[in-house]
Amino acid sequence: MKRVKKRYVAFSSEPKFSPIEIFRAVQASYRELFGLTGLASADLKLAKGYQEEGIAIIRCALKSVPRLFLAGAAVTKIGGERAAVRALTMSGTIKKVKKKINALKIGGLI
Amino acid sequence: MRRFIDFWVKGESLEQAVGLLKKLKELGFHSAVIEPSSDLLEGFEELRSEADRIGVKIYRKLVIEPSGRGDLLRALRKNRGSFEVITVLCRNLEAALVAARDSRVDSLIIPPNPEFRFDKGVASLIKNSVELPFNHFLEDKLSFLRTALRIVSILGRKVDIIVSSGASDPLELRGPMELASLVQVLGYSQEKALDAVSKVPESILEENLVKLSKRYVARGVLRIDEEG
Repeated sequence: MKRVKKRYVAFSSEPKFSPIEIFRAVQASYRELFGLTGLASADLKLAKGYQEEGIAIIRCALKSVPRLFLAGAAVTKIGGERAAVRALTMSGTIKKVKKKINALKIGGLI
Repeated sequence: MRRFIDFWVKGESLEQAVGLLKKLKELGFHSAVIEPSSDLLEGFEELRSEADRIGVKIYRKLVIEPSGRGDLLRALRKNRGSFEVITVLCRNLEAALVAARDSRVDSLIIPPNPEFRFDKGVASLIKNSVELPFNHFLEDKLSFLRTALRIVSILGRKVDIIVSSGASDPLELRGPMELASLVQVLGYSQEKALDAVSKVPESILEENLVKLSKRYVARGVLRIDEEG
């Protein structure tokens, strides 16, 4: 069986929310835009979260990356409060994502 | 390297516009096209110096929402020389047909659920770029996607498409990759999608800056004697 390639996308929210809240909001938005089948094929998973920085690293199938970006961008509310979710960076490994986030000077994650 | 441009942000006051520009810089934009309110238009040079300090280039934009042909032509005649970008929000077929062909118009916005039939006949007349504002998507996702899908499928190969934020609040701003993902999801390749937030608006701005300069005489004719 062919292995499905994955990508890790780091999202932050404005104002800051917990990683699990960001993940749930992105997941709900993805489902709203692309349906249950789309959500299943994207294979979304909260790979890592940073509570203090309000950053969620979400793993998804390579093919679904543009959809994940759009799903994140489509979030306008988290927990009934006005919010924006923005993609910070993307990579094939969590290690590289952390490195890129550090380069963006958003906290010292490693 | 690509220079990303947000082709539509709404400036209501100096403080609000500076807040937007700071956020745009943070998101990785090189330039922004601002639709200033009448108050902000008067103090636009002050905003420009603030923008230089922040590190974002800014340009003026006029968004016209004409009721008909005459209305549109009057607005174009009056304002073409004062704004770097003119966009027409097409609420009716008459305005859309004129705006689609007039070379003084830089981009068209076809609102979600237009009150006119947008088919291949209308599409065949369009020569100007079509703009998809992200705030329209945030307001009504289903209607926007329905209209945007039609635009991309009918016009995608024929005319250039631009994605802008249309934001008046920092929370409505999105990064260039996120704006590009909108057309990528609708069927564009990654390169072409990124062009919609970089090369396409950049070429419009370059062309219009030449037209607004004192050296411009007519299409294809530039005065070069002044600089020697």
